[in-house]
Amino acid sequence: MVNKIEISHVDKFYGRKKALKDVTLTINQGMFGLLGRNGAGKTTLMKCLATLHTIQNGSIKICGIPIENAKEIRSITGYLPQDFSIYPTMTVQESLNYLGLLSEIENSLCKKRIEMLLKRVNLTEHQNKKIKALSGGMKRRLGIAQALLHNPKVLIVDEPTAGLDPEERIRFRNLLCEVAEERIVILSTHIVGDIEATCEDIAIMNNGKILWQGTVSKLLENAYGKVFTVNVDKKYLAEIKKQFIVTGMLVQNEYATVRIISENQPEIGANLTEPNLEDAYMYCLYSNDCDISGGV
Amino acid sequence: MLFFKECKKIIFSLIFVIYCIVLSGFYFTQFSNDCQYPLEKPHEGQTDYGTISKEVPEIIMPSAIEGLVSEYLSGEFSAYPYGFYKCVKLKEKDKKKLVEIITELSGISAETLENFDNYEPSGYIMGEDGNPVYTNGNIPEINIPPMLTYDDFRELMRKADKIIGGGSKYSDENIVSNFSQIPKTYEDALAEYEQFCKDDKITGAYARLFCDYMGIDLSILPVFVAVFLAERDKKSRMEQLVYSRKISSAKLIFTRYISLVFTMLIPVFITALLAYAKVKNIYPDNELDKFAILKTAVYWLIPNIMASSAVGMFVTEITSGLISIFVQGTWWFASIFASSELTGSIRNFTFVMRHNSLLGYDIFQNELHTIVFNRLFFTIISVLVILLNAVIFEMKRRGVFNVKLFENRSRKSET
Repeated sequence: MVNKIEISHVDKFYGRKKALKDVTLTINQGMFGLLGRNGAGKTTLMKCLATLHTIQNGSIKICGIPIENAKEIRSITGYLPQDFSIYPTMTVQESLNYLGLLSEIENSLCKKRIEMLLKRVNLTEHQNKKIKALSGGMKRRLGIAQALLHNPKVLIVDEPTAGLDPEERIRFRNLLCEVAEERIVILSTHIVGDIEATCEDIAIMNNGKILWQGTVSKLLENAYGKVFTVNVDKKYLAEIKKQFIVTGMLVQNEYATVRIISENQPEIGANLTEPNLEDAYMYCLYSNDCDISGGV
Repeated sequence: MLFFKECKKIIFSLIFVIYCIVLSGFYFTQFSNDCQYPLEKPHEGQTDYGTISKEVPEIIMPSAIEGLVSEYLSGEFSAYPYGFYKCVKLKEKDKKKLVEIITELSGISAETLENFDNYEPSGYIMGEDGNPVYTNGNIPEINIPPMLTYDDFRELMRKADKIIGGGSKYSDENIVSNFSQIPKTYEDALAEYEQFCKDDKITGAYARLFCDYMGIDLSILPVFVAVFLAERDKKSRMEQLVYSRKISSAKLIFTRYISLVFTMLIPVFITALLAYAKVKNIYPDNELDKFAILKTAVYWLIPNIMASSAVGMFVTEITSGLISIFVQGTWWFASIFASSELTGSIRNFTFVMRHNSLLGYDIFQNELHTIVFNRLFFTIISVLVILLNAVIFEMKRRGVFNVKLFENRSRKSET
């Protein structure tokens, strides 16, 4: 069985609104990042892959299985939804047991998998705690454990780090990288830092379309020569925001150091600088004529 | 096993505890209360053995005609068109039609009826000594035409009932019980008592009484438990996790449904055992059918639990829990009041079956075919509703069925 996901010319409508427009993607084994702002269509695409939405046009094949074979797809995919939650009065162990039954895993195998996964996500000590007593980070780790319970070939995680503190976020990203060694992991997020730390292959979505697909280094390469820093008096900040795409600023006393994107060297004493992934992402949106006026 | 997990989820829920409390409360205040003393064997020379409905034309015809004339002169007719009491006042054109029928039945002319102004209803009035005194009332003299056959009489009464709007005392369903109550003889009463002991083996009669009371509760309470279960995934925001699992929709929905019906039967069986113990206590020396209450509970009460649970699960799946409760509540209310009779009024589609008497073995036996049809009907319908529920669940799971109406949460995070 081929370990890849092939998405070809997919359209998805909510009533008359087109949520996905001619989406074509190929995702190979390892971590894959789907980056885009809120409302870009990431969750819709994730739900289509998890068989929670039907597509109107195009085709999706997961490890060679057409998406229409929902039961087969469900048996090889694990899904961690954006809005992850489990019955609050169940314990960690009970909830995994219950979800194992829904995944139709044989009882003794399920027990072994639960034990192994709890160890892997560092929740063994908390297995008898009720879900409502877990911290946000623990819940997310439990989310990964439940998604891996039936040892899926594909793991779909939708905005998994939202609301986590920096330490938990790092721990969670490392966990994702570990599990991606043996399967396809699709990470959907609007947080560039998550992608930067975990993925080499990425796609950028906007307004239901795939704007760009490739490697992180290629995306950075595209932004070389387009990112500048400039030190200005604070009173000129508003003017600079009007003229350029600002991706960051550091204000110290009366002066501010501003990172800007520009096709040409700006004539305001700006210095060329190394782009980071956030700059490259913003440049990608800019170069594809996306409306980023409400940006940074 | 998923079945046991689902049962555990229900049993340890607050709503199930409430269900058990209400059910047992009803058992202790109603059924248990009726089991304080054994049914007395009739003795010769008793002043009263009760009455019995019997279709005797010689009794029905004069009393029903008198009732019709009396109600016409009072200007008001009592009726239960949909099981609810209604005071019917006729329009002029309907009055004319009814006068024709009365004339045909009683020989009283239209003019006599029109000009009769000394009408007095029959019934109890306060006597001079302050005690109630029965009066025959005052209506024109009735002369039933000798050529009027019993069949003609029934046909004319059907027409009268239609003019009144249905559900009147003169309808086919009500005419015998309203106008042909005859006193039981000692022999009648003794035969009935012997039937209670021998044919019913006592517990058979108590089984009907038990199911009569419990059926009222079990036609409405399961909907609350079903709604709780169906809403639980939504409230815990578990839907997407459940939807994305391998299990088939039919397997999940039917397992949940069966566990729902099973758990709700547990307190029913416990109270059935208590009921048997109670009956055994008041009839220590009689031969009893040990399993009569359990057997009757199975065929009488399970369809009620199944139907009420199915409505709860299905309506909640497509709309919301509140609407489910409203739908089931309306059906329950209509069914409870659909019949003015507490025994002998079971029809093909009666949801809440009533038999609020320890006697009436014959009545129940006569209704047996109807009861079998009735219970099978509700069982099959419940299974079909759950099948439809599984189809809707699968459609929701695939994102092709999305009822926005009555949904609490908007689809803010869809994109």
